[in-house]
Amino acid sequence: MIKLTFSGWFECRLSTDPDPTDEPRGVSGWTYAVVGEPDFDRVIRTMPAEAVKRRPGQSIGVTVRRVELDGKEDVSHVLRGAPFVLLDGASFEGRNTLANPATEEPIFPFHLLIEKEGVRLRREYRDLQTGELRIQRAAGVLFDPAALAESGVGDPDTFVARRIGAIEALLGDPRAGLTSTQRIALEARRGQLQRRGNGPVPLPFGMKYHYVLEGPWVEVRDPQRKLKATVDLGPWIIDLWLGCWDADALCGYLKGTLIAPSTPNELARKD
Amino acid sequence: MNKFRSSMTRRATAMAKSAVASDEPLVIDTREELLDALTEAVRIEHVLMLQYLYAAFSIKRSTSEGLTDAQQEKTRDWERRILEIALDEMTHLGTACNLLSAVGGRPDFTRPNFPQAASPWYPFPFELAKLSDPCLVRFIRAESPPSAQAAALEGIAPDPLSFSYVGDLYRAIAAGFETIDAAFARSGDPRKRLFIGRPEAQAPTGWALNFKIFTITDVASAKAAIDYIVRQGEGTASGSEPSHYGTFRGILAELRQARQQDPSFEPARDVVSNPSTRPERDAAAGATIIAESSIAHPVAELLSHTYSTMLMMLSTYFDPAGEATEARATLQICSRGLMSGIVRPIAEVLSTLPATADDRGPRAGAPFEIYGDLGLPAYAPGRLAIIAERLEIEANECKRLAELDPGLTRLRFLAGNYASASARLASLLAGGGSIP
Repeated sequence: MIKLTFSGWFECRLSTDPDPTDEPRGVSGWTYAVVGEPDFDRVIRTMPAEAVKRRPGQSIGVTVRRVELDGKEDVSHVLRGAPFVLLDGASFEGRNTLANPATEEPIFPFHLLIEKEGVRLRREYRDLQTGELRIQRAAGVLFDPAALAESGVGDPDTFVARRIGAIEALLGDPRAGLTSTQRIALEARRGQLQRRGNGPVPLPFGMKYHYVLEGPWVEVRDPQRKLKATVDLGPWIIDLWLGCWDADALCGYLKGTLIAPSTPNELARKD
Repeated sequence: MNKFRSSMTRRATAMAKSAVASDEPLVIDTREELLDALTEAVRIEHVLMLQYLYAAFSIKRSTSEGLTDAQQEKTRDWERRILEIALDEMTHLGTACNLLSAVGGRPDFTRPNFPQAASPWYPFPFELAKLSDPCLVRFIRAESPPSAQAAALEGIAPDPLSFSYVGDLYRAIAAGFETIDAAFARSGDPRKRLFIGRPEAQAPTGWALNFKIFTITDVASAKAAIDYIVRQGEGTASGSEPSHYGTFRGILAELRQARQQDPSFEPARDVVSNPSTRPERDAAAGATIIAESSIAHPVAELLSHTYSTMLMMLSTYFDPAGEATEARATLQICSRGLMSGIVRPIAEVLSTLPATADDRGPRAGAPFEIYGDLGLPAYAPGRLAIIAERLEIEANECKRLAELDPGLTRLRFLAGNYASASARLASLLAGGGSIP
């Protein structure tokens, strides 16, 4: 069995209630696309290269932090530091609660990729009988007090003051080289934070997801046998927690595990 | 007074009462007068909300529409503030329905189509118009406390009426609750009670974030609810609390200042006033008929049809006739979801589509027309079936329009919202939807 533990910040530029789910700029909810930024698209982005990356904000990047082979940690495993990516424009499927309750919004489609140095694990969540993409609601909201420290959010009570301080520091830094548009955008963010007070600060609550990925919609590539195991095509179990929502930075913290059946090969035995 | 007047007669009486000169304060001292006044309050909250929504949806969104970066953030802030007020009006509407229901009334969501000129029965004109200086002055007039009338808006006040201001109507209603309840108590007849409504018909508070609906059980809760509504509209004498009146005045001042800085600044799209898909028999002169050759025409029809379906959901929700708890929960979710997830985005789309055959002409807007009778049968499965049937028709029409015009990208997404709402209702019907 191979177990990957991953975590990090993702970006999701989406409107929030009571704005329509497809609201492009954000008006009456907690989130806004400020001047100079593209319209919202609701896509969950775990890779920094694909993100808009507000600054000051969070450092985007969900990566594998720990690899275990048959219960034993492998600190030199090739997949340590591998990016965890959701493909095909995965987004939260709520539709103003018409489709799903706010606390149970599914991630749709669910198609994961973990890839590094030529090793690739990829699998889609599809119906075994029909082959169609499956949609699955979150399994509720889970309080996880450790998430504040893990994510680096720290004390939620001082979050707004710290973020406003960081924005003002950037505005006041002559070396930052801000354009007029960037200044207006930062001032807009500061205004929203001041207006909303301590409302939408990152809190240690997150939506829990549990997926069992099965079937032939899977790819395991390991031409140089760096995985140190042969990953089985049996069910892969994915558990995710997405929370600590930072409405100002349009980011959330993701952590989770992937467990796949596997058989160790010679490299693993040598270790 | 005949205790069994038809609702039509009641309405006519309410209109006639409205025409009493303003130096004769509105006095409510019978249940029927209270029902009339609350029905009027429901109607006024409804039409105010639609006017605010229309103005908000007309606001320009991006630099591609001629805004500077700073103006883009400014107009977004105005839109947000106006939408917040519209949301407050929705909660007032919900509380007014609870007030009505508590004393034995049945919420009625019918209203005349736009426009309506100022008249003895409408103390200010009801118009769908883009955000502008005169539009904001009209909104301030609607929300203003009586004492501010002369100073702030000299010369535009209509002829004196029994309730020239929304706050006046509510104050009269609050006094009416006290007067009538005390009269019943004095009668010594235990069968005489003001609060004869079904408790289960009261809408609960937890509809959504910042959606504060009061449940009404007695005079104290009724007065607290009314006090809250009046304070939100007019503010307090000290001006220490934010109010609709104060917010609109603030936006007007900012708009005038922005115009001084940039005389060419235009915050709203060139949308027509009072759009309509057809002549409406109950509308005053001044409607703008959307050209049938424009794609805006069928989109506007879809919007108005869906808006009426939402009103049917609300009237069913606020006047349950055997619907099971699950059915009421579904109606609550769907009516709220239709407002945020379907009606609003289509209204926004309409403010970008041409109202005339000339693609370069003025834009259309959401007509919020009511085409026919909103009345539904009192038989729960029957009325749920009608609502489900309408949603299915609307879902298909949305899909058809999205396929007809590839430019309607938001409609492609909204077709999924319709499908979700339609599936919810269909599932409810399959399970019966009513208490066996």
